[in-house]
Amino acid sequence: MGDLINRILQNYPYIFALALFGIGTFTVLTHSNLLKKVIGINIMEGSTYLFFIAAGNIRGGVAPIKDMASQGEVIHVNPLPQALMLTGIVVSVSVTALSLALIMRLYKLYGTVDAREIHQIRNEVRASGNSN
Amino acid sequence: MATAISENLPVLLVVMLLSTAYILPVLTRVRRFRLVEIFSILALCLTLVGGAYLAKEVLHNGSFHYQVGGWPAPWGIELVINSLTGLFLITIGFVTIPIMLYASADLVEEVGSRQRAIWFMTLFLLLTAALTGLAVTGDMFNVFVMVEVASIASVAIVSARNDAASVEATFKYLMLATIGSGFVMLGIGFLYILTGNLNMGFIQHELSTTWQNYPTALWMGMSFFMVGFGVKSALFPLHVWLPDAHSTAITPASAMLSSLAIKGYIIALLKVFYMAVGAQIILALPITNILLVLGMVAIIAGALFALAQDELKRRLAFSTVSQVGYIFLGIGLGTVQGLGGSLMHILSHAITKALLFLAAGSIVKYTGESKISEMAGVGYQMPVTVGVFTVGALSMVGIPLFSGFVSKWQLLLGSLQAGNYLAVLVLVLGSLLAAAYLLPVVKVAFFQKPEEKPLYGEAAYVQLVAMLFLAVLIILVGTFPGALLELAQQAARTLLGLEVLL
Repeated sequence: MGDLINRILQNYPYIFALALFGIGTFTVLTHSNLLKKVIGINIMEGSTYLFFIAAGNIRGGVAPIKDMASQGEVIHVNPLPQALMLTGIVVSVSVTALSLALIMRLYKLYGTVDAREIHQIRNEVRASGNSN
Repeated sequence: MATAISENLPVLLVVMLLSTAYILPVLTRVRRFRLVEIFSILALCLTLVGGAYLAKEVLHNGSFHYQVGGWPAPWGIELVINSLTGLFLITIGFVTIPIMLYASADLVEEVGSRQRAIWFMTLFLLLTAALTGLAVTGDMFNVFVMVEVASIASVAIVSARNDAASVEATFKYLMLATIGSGFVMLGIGFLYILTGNLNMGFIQHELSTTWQNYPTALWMGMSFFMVGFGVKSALFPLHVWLPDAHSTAITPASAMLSSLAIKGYIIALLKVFYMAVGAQIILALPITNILLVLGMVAIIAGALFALAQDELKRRLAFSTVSQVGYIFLGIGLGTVQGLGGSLMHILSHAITKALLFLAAGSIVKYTGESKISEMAGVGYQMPVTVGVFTVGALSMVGIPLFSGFVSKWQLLLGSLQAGNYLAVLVLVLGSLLAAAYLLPVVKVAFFQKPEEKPLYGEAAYVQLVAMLFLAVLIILVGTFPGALLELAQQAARTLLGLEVLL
C-alpha cells in the first residue's frame, strides 16, 4: 500500500493529466450543449500538453536556452516535448475553429445548439419521408 | 534528374500531392473548369505510378529508409518504405483516380458552386496526401500529424454539400475523431516516456530489451492506441459516427471515406504495433486476442445492422463496419497468412466499396429514391450502373473470380491454420450475411417489375467509365492476384519480423 502511494506521489503530473483527460472526454460525450462539447475537447487536448511537458521536465532544470553568462553545470529541461506540443496546440486550435464554424452553421440550420434537440428535429424530418 | 526523382520519390509523392492541393484554390478563375479537374487527376495518376514503382523496388530489393532533408535518424524524420507502403500506395492510386473521375462529372452541381467544388478537390487531395504520408512515415510524431491532417480533411469533406443532415453528421464525426486523436497522442506520449525516442526503429530497439521492466505502462500505451485508432477506423463498438457521416456525404466523398480514409488509420495502427513496438512484444501481450474478438463481433453485428437498413447508402455504410471487422480479425490471428489476408482485404475492400458507393450514388441521384424497397426495376433503366453494382456485390460476398474472394480465402486459410474454427464460422457467416444484405438490392433492381415512372436513363458517360474501371479492376485482381498477393504476404512477413526490417 505504501509502495502504491509512493508511486502515485512520484508520478502525480501524469495522473493529474490522465484525470483531466478523463474529465474532458466525459464532458464531450455527456453534455448535449455543443459549445460545452468544444470546451471538453479543449480540456482533453490541454491534458495531453501537460502529459508531454511533464515527460520532458527535469526538477530544477531551466529553459533550454544557451546562456553564456551562467557558469558551471546547468541542467536544461528536454526541449523536444515542448516543440511537439507547439504542433499539438496548432492542431487543437484548428479543430476548435472548425467545430465553432460548424456550430454556427448548425445554429443557422436548426435554430439551436443542443445536440438532443437537433437529433429530434432530424428524426422528425426523416420520419416525414424526406431523407435530406 | 531521373535518378534525383527516383531517389527522393517517397517524400516527393507527399509534397507533390500537398502542393497540388494548395495550388487548386488559386485556379478558381481558370475559365475552363475541366482543366482544373484534369490537373488534379494527373496528380493522382502520378501517385499511382510512384507507388507502383516503389512497390516494385521493395518487392525486388527489400525495404529501405529515406532521410528527410538528409538528416540521419534520430535527429531527422525518417521514412520507411516497405511492402506495406507499396501495397497501400497502390490501393490509394487504384481508388482515388476513378473517384475523382466520377466526381468531375457533376461536382459543381452537387456542391453548389465552382468555388466549393475546388475546395472539395483541395480537401480530397489533402486527404490523399495525408494517407500517402501515413504509408511512408517511420516516425511516431509524423504519424500523429498525418493522422490529424487526414482527420480534419475527412471531417470537412463530409460537409461538402453543407445541408442540414451532413453538417450534423460532420459535427458528430469531428468530436469523435478528435477524441480518437487525443487517445493516439497519449499513446505516443507513453512510448516517448518509455523509450525517449520517436523514431519507430529506435523505439523497437529500445523496447526489445527493456519492456519487461514496465509491462503496465506499455499495456496502457497500447490500449490508448487501440481505442484511438479504433474510433477512427470504426471498429465495432466505436463505429457510431460512421453510418451518419458516410451516408450523408456526397457520393465521391462517401466512397473515399468508406474505402480509403478508415484504412489509413488501420495502416497507422499496424505501423505502431509492428514497426514501433515490435511483433515479439505484441504477440506476447494479449492484444491480438482482443482484436480477434472485436473483429468477430464487428463482422456479425455490422452485417446485422446493415440488414436492418432500408436506405441504400446507410446499408453500405454499415457494411463497411462489418468489413473492417474482417481486417481486424486477420490482424488478430497474428499469423503471416492471417495478416497477409487482412492486408489484401484492405485493397480488395477499398476497390469494392468504392465501386458500390459510386454506383449507389448514381442510382440514388438519377432515380430520386434513396430506399431500396422503392428501387423496383431500376436495372431496366440503368443496366450498366446496376451491372457494376452487381459485380461489387458479388465481390463483397466473396464469389470466386472477384477480388473479395482472394482476401476472404486468405483469411479463411489463416484461421484454419491457426486452428481457430470459431473464426472460420464467423467468416463464412459474415459472407452469407453480406449476400443477404447486398443481393436483394440486385434482385429488386433487376427482377421486380418497375412501377409507372418517368424515364431517367443512365449516369453520365465519365461516371460510367470510372465505375467500369473499378469493376474491371475487381475482376482482374480476383483473377490474377499474383503480384499483389505476394506483396501483401511479404508485407505480413516484414511486419511479423520474419524478414529483417532494419
